[in-house]
Amino acid sequence: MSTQTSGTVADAVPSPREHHRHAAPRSAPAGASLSRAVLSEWTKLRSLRSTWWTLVIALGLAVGFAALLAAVVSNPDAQQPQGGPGANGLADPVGIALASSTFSTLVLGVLGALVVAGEYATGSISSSLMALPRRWPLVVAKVSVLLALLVPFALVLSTACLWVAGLVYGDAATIDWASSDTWLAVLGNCAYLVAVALLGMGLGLLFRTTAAAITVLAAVVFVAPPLLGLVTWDWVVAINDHLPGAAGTSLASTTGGTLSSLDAWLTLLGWAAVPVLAGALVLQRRDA
Amino acid sequence: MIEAQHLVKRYGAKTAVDDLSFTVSPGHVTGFLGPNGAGKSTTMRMVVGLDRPTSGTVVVNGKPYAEHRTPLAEVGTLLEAKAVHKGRSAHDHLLALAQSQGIGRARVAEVIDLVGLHDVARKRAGGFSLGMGQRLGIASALLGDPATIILDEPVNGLDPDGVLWIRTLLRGLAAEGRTVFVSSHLMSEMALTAERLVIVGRGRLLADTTVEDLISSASDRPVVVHSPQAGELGRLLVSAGATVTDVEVGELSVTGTTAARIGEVAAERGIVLHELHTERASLEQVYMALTRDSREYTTDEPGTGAPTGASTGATSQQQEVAA
Repeated sequence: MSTQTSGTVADAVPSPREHHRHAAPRSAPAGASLSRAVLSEWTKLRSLRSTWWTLVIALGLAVGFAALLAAVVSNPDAQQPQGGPGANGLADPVGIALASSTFSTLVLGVLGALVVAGEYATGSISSSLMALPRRWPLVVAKVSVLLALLVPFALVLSTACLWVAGLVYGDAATIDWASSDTWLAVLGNCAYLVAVALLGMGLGLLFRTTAAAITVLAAVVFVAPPLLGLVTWDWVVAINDHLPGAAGTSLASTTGGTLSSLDAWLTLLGWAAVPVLAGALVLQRRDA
Repeated sequence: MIEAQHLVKRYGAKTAVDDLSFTVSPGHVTGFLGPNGAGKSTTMRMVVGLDRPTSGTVVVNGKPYAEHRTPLAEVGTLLEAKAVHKGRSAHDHLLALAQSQGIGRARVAEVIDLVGLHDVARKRAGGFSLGMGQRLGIASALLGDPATIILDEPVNGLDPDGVLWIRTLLRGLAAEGRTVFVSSHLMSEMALTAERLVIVGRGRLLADTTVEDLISSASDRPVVVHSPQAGELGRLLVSAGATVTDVEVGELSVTGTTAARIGEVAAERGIVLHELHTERASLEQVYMALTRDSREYTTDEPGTGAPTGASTGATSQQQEVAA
């Protein structure tokens, strides 16, 4: 075996000289690990244009609806509870500003679904699973990267909604930036956005097709609440109160909602974690 | 090194891979041959842990695939043509794979140059032609500088230049002492590339052999006779127990006897012979025979009008031509 220096071969028929594994060993790769899986998933997520488009759309929708809702409730003819604490006229200017996020949750849920279902749609899942044949590190890495991207993003989005709404309210209401209640509501809103994104990812793992995952996601977030709201049986009401939207609205408010704060946080945690865990289990057992 | 033992894969009532045992050793190209639907892809997917065997085991480089610390440095795999996200560039696809294993960025640039994708490495892979997709797949397979390389139908969709390129590459990789396992449904392609062959049909092992042994194993090769008295000679040979097929006027294809015996019969009766030779079975014929028998065995296809008498593949090929 010769020890030729490796060089680049641009012509059509490459010399096999670059493959002298034993003659000139390069430093061996360090091996797969969880932190390397996270780095790899970050490269995957950032290298897709759809990731950044989704964020732009989510931000645009949220801020746009925040301005719209603020304009509507600032209208003197609007029927709103008056004289709430910390507001000049409206009971919950923070909650109204953050209510605009609901449309964006769906967009982020789609992003979460795409992170997994997009790999199945294109066949790149087989590359991913051959690189990480133990499989569960792939799910941990995808969850980590999505959290790392979306937690700061959700903070920016929620704050932007409040700021824009504050501008539009004018004299009708003010946002109390110094109040801890305001920031608790912002945190709650972030939890809502991120939980729906993880729900989307979990559905992507379970269904493996983008269409099925997004359909179920839209059903849970948008379609179920008004339909279940028509039924007055106690257990249906309980379910409806524990859908992600109801839990999110309870938290993204300074006046509270139908659920207690603890109940709402646990509900969002459940929607975020259970489908992902079930999806990881299925991924572990199923043929790719 | 790939060692499969009693691999079985069932999907419901359908058995895709049926008690398949074989060994692929380093140092040469091993062809994995079989008609479409013979279970080649399923077998390859079980080797790299994408599909779980119903029963049986398969180890690569001494361990089940999933137990390797750096899987891509052990086994490089090309499965379906484009296992790449359409929205991602070739460079980013390879980089993400490399990062997952702790393989350096320099190696990513190296494999991109190696497969000749330098100019398009930053473009989105969705716009790649099938051939470019195959090259990217090869780049992914070589990324970890693996000791074992598994390629499923690598020449599909390649132009003649690309086919030649793959052939040269595979032989070079094998010459370096790597294990190279390549599937194809085309015997003609494997005849040019592979030294060893694992042949499957309907999920079962039909042959685990070398190309040379396979050719010489073709028993009962037909003898071709050209004679102006072909009709008379034919009748004599049939009464002597041989199977005779008229190929065209003055030409016979004879099985069940030898060229020497035919020569003797002709000499006894003073029949003029213009040509007398034993056909050398082509790999293609042997392969067709092997896989046809497996189809008949498993599905009970109605008879294809083949003449009576023991007929191995090479002869039945001839007879079909005559029919």
